[in-house]
Amino acid sequence: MRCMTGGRCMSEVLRKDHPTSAPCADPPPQGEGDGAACAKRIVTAARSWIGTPYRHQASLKGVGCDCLGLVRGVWREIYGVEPELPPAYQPDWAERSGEDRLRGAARRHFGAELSVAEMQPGDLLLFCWRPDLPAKHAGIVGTEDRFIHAYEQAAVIESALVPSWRRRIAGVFRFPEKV
Amino acid sequence: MATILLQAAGAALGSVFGPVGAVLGRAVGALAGSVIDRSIINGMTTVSGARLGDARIPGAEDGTAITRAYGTVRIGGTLIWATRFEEEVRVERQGGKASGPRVETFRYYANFALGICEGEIACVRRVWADGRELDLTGIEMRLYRGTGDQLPDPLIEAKQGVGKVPAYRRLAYAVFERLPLHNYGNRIPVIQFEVLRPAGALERQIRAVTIIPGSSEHGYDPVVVSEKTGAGASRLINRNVFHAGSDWQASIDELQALCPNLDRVALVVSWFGTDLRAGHCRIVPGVETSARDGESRAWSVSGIQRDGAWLVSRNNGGPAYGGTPSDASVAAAIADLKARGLKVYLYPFVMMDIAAGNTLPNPYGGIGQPAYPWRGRITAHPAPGLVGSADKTMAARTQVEAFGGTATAGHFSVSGPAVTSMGADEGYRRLVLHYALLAKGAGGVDGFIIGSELRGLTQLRDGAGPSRLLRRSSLLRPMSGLFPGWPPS
Repeated sequence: MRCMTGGRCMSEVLRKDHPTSAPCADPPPQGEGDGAACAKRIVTAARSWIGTPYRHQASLKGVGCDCLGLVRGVWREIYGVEPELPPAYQPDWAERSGEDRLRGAARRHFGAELSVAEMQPGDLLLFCWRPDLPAKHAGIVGTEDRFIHAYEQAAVIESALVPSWRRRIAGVFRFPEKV
Repeated sequence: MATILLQAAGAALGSVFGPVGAVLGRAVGALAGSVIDRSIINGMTTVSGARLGDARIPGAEDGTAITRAYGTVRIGGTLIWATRFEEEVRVERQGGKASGPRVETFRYYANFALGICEGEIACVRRVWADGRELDLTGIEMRLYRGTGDQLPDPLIEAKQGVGKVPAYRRLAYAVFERLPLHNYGNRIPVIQFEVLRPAGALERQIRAVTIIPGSSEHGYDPVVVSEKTGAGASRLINRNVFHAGSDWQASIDELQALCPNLDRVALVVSWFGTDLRAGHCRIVPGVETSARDGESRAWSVSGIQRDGAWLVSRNNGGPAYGGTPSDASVAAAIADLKARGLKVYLYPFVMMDIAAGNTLPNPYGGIGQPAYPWRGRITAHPAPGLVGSADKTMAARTQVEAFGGTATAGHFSVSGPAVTSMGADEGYRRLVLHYALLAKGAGGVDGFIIGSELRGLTQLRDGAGPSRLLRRSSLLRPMSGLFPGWPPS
């Protein structure tokens, strides 16, 4: 769950398999005004990744992904484009760099953070394992008390949002209606 | 191999110079050969460190009784779930130029769950592994308090399958994820928990708490602050526990766990009074020591730095009081309390730092004021009831106004949460205004408590009749316009 497992970098594979201009299976939302329908699409997309094995830096459904790879994959399915290709990163990037890069990227693409009280299905969650370190884990809210994430020791799974994880939520972000 | 070959070659070459040459040549050849041999043979060997045959799991028995805890008790855990150990192999080369042997070392990590006791508990404070306290910030331990609606643990669910895992409702248990085992002889250590389970009704009825001491330089800071204690040595000033990142976090976590209906807290922040005579009392922020080396967050209150602050007097070999909480720590504490859903009341306070053996005139008669007196004894000089008392005269008004000082909001420069006092005035109004502005800069507080326990001042009169002199003259007026609805009529 720390998103720390080492592994072969799969970003080259991704660059070939997911050119950012290619249309994705789902049509992009056209004037999607209904937030609930949008959230439903996001949760459905995220659930379709369940079972994908954990693989550091990867983002390919059914083959391997890490927590960020899952969010990128869902983004591609919803909007048809890659949000951005992250640079190569080490399993312990957060402890070493000290920069809040994950949160910075979330703000770039999702806009301002919401409060935990406003959290609803389809939202992006960032987690901070230690208060003195940057946010390091990400997942997507499935239901009120469950969220879908790539679990380091296992695979993409819909886990219970248990109290000790709920306490560590470092940010709630809503997927934008359009990009 | 190379030893034998080069030995023979050396002997053949050396024999050109006769029998002595052959012996020398053989020796030189053998030396060169053995160097080559060692590097080839060592380079191909792999030295393996200690490796476990299988996971050593301590007793997990059927039918173990579930402990029922009351109050605070230390309880050993009972293993209820575990995975195989995760093995991590590290490969390194020894020696220079990668010529040494390959060394493989093995590290083991365990995932397991320990049942603790019957729920619902408030929290777990300390945790020991093989008798030594664990630093809970460095490992992943998820505690389930044994509530009736707790959800299955994500790790157990990930390993066993969604829908195939009990949530162990009504059982308090803890899940350890990837606990490194090399400190415990590569087995799951014996783990004990300090469980807090309130048995009575009192804790649930507590709605409001006042947080003291109010005098601790960095004690209110949720983030850890360190200082250097010598060459290459440092200490954490505000972390004296292993179970949380700082003393503040440990205390407030525990407070909220024990008092789930807690709604509001009053945060006491102390400055120091220097005299019992209202007309001579200075009110100043103080420090325990005038220099700290390499302080990771420098102490500063109202723009006053450590070296310019009042040095708290010493008593019994230590500072008589902790220093005034730094402004940064107060602002961070207010933010932390609000993020926890608590209403915050800021409570500026005065502690009397008057050391024993002083020669100050005593308003209650004679020379020498009592050591570390109660703030309620600050009064007019001479005190009410004495012959020639200033009470009921205009002198009382003059002294009380001197106590309040002349500070106004305009004497402060405010930038974000940082408040700096620009004036030289050291009256009570400066204290009040400083914290009023600080609270405002920190995003506001739900209440502000002032004038607490100053009964020696509030009973003074400037004429024959009751006039609530202090309230009218010194405290409320400077706050006008700072807060909506202030002053209360």
